[in-house]
Amino acid sequence: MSDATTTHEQPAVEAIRHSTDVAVLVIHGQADLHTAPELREQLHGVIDGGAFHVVVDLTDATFVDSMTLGVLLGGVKRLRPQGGQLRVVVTQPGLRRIFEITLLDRVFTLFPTREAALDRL
Amino acid sequence: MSSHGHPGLERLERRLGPRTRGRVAATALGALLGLGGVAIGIALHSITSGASYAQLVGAVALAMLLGGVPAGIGATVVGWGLGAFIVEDPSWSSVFADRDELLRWATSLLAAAVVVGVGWAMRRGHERAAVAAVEAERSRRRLEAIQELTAGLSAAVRPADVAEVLARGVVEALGARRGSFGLVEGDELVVAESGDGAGPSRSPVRVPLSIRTPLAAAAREGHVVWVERRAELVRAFPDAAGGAGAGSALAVPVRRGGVVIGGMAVDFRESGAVTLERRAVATLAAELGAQALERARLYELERLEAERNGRLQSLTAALAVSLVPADVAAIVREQGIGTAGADAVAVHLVSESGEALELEGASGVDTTSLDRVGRLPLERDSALATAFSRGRASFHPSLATLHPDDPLQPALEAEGLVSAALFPLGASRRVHGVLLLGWRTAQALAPDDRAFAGTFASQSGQALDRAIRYESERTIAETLQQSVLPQALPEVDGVTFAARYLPGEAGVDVGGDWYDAFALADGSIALVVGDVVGKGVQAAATMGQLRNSLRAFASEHNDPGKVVRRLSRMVDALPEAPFATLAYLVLDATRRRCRYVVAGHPPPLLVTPSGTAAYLEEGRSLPLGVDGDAPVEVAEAVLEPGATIVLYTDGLVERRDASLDEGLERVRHTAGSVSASPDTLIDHVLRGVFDGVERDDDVAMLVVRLEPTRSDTLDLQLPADHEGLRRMRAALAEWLADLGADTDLRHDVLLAAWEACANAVEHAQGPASATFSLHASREGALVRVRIADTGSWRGQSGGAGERGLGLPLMRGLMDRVDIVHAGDGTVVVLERRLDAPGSARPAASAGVFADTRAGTTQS
Repeated sequence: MSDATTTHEQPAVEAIRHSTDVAVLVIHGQADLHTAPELREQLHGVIDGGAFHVVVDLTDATFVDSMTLGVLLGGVKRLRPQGGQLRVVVTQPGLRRIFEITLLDRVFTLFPTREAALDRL
Repeated sequence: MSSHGHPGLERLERRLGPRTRGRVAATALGALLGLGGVAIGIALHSITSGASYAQLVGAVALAMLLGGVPAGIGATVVGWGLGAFIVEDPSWSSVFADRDELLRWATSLLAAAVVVGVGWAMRRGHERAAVAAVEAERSRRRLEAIQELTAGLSAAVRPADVAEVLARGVVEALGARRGSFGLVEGDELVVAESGDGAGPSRSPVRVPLSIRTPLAAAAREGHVVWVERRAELVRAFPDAAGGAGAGSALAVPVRRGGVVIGGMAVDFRESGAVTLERRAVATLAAELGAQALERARLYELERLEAERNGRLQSLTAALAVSLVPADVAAIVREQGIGTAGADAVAVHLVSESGEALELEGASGVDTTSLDRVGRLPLERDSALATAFSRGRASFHPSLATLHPDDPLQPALEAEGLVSAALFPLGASRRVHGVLLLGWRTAQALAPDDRAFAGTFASQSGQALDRAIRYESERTIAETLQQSVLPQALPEVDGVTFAARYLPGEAGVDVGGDWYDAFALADGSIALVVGDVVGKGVQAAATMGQLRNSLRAFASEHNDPGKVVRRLSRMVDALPEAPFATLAYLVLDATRRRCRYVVAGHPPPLLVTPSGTAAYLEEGRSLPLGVDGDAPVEVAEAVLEPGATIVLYTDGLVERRDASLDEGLERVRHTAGSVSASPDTLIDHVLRGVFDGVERDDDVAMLVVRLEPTRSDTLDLQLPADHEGLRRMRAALAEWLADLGADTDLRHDVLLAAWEACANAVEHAQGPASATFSLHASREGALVRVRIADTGSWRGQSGGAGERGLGLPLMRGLMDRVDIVHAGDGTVVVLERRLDAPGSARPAASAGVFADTRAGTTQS
């Protein structure tokens, strides 16, 4: 899997600690089964590291596959017991439709911008 | 007469030399003083009537001191005795009888002898001191003269300066009347002379080396020559015209590295002036002169070299930008002046008919006086015609070396040119004209001058050849293109063409190569490359006829075999029975198929988009004109999108220095190594094949490429791994883009296919080399993607949440998803309409947290 991530010019997943209990994960480029392990690791990392809420920013992502969705779903399951939220920033209609198709828009809250997602967290 | 250094003689001279001149004078003086002694004796006797011996001794002493030489002493004694005898008339007996008288005489004689001895010794010492002083003075002067000579020589930079300084310096150093210095050049001696006054030296003159002068003798024989007397000089060296008024002469050879290169000579007004001393000084001066000459020669060579290099560089620079023969000739005329010192330049070019040389132009001379060689038929016996037809340079230091009937001689004479050199102008076997260089002063045309002028002429010739060939190539190519080659290549969607015709470089004959490309009535394209054996107008005419007939036959028959058969019969029936080869292809660009016939022609080359090049070896028939009834075989080839067909004539693959197989392989390799437009491909192949090699034959090339058009289908067979997945995504994305699908649709199809393929990869079973295949097609407004793998999805229906989203995603994104589990794998078929914009259609049945097993159809 490491060879998959090295083909990205920048890290596929970038973790930003927004506040003590909110972490932001920014996903760049193609988020697919190659980058899923990295995303999973980062997501679990920030949750285990004390993040109560997680915002996943897909603004910069060009391709999101089912494996990535599955990883996000796993994140929701981890956050749920503590009452935390996983919010997703998705601007492109194509990507938004993926969430709608899989009904995941009902599981995650979708926001058009990162600012909106971070609002009132 | 001449004399070689003889040791005995030299010793004698060294001893006597400085005094020789005073000997006669001293003897005369002694005699005079002796007579004076007599007179004194008489006077004393008459006064005292019986001189005392002391008085006699005094008289003798005086005489001794004054006379100073043995001869003088002798004369004095004799004179004194005679005087005594006359005056006293003594009886000798009385002297011997009287002991006192005898004693007195003896004492007197003894005293006289003592005085004589003392006087002689004093005289001798005085004389030696005087001689030494004179010697010292002379050495000083000589040293000065030699120093001056050395200084003068070190300032002399040209051989002519050296000669002049030497001739003058030697005159001063030796106190000679005149000096001359000569250098051997071939069988001549170049002589610089210095006059006896301060007057300017005359410019060097050339005399035969065989002339009878001391200088020539020394230069010829390599040893010192000297003559002591005028009579001898006149007798032995009658040619020494300057010798009139000379009493003696000396000449020494001048050597460089042991080889005599010339001589130096002086003459003296008086006879016998050639002392050993002078010979030594002259020899030293000759050595100094030789060194200075060597220095000057090297300097001169260096200067000449620099000047020549400068000339050649400026010539090359000027010629590099001239592509028209007239420009080249003008540059040669302009730059030729001063080449090896030439005063005049004329350029003759061969006339169009090839029968005469015509004066193209001249510089440094009045062209009207060259009118008599303005047009010179080649059969005329002239050095110009010889230089042209033999392709060899000729050199004429004097016009006498020209044939008496040569019209060049009066022409040059009229212009005051006395030396000339003629060079053929051209490159290797092609001579286009003659370059003439002329000089107003006689030139020896030494080897290095010849070589340099030869280089100049060769550079000029190459530039001229280049310009002429450029012009003729262009003319031929233009003519051919206008008459036979197609004015324009057809314009067909999805097909690009490029063609080239290059005439052979070795000759200017028109070749029989041609190419043609034209659209046929059914939309396919006819491609032809042919070669009529032979050259010149006949071949060109046949070629035109073939080309027109082929076009006519092709419009009647779609089958290339029928076209070639008719053409073959037609050629067979031609009265002059020419012989031609041909490759004829009919290309159906939409079906990407071509049918072809290769009649005795080298095989067409097919290059795939991935760069594999292979010859189309089938469809071979006999050349046209061999047997009009022979069967013609037609072959068919299927082309990939992006495939390129390379048609060419044998000039591309046949070379004198390589076999045909090597030539074919070189073309195949070069064409396969580049993925480019037909135009670039032709350039690339021509460069690769003819890199720096002269083309013997003409070459025609026709290259056609089927553009990789929007393909309605996509077929992929990829390894079932992550790399295969990435390649699938890239290829499918490109194919979808080519379809002109909108962004959303592209995204949806891509993601759905990705999910299907990811499953295929994830569950690939069997050997490590498992693959999956993808076939995408567009049927009208429907895009269908079929993905097949070798594994089975059963038992892995996505119990884990992470993996269970794939199928609902596919169903949501596509209009239709069919999953078929075959015996040895799974096939997924995805369908999506192009015209119905994708909308979010939640896969209702796919509960996210439920088991995502989708409805599948078992086959």
